[in-house]
Amino acid sequence: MRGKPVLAAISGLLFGAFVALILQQWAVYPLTSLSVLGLPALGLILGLVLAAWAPFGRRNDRVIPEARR
Amino acid sequence: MAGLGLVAAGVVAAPAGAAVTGGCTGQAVIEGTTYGPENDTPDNAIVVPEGDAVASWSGQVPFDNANFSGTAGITVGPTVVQLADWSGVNEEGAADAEGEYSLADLKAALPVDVGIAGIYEVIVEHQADGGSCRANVFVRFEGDPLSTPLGIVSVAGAVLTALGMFAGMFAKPRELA
Repeated sequence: MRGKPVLAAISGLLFGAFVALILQQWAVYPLTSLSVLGLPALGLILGLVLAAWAPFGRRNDRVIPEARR
Repeated sequence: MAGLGLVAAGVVAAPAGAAVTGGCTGQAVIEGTTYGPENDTPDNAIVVPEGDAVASWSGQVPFDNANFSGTAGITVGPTVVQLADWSGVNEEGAADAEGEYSLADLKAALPVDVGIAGIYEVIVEHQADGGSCRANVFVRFEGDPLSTPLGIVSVAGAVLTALGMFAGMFAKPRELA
């Protein structure tokens, strides 16, 4: 995995929980099992997917080490 | 707390066919609007206005109501956080009741008493010697979520954790061979 999976997974888990809370606070959807458990699970998966994708900060692997100096 | 239970039981007690078991009936009037068991979906919730409104409620049970007891709580994920409970002997055998209840007391009974907004699923259970009722309704507290601690925390937390996910999208540096 190219990115930081632990950071992204934990952040995604908490992000899902906070989104569930936002939906409840703005009277869109109450804190049911679906939102309290489902959204954090989706956030965790999203975080892992984003960490696997990791489109930022990639090094050009084709450049030989000597060329970087 | 007992008052909350009574008004909650009055609001959620319902005709057959709604989100109620046990055949209880009841209603509550808040600022001219009548609520009842049909308020059992998030988009058809009981609206609790800001300020100190009063709910006029009435309820009836179809069974022997001696030695009654009950609880009311809000759903938080797979659990129910109990807000109130009530019980009594009821030697007269009264099967109906009515009264008025200050919604300020309802807000004070919630876990967060420094400002409340949003939608909650309320579960009420009532049992007595002759039977039992169970019901659920949705209650929406009017107000600006950004004026409540929970609303502020939810937005700030979502922003911070979104940044955390963004940081996780940066590739780890590799050791060069």
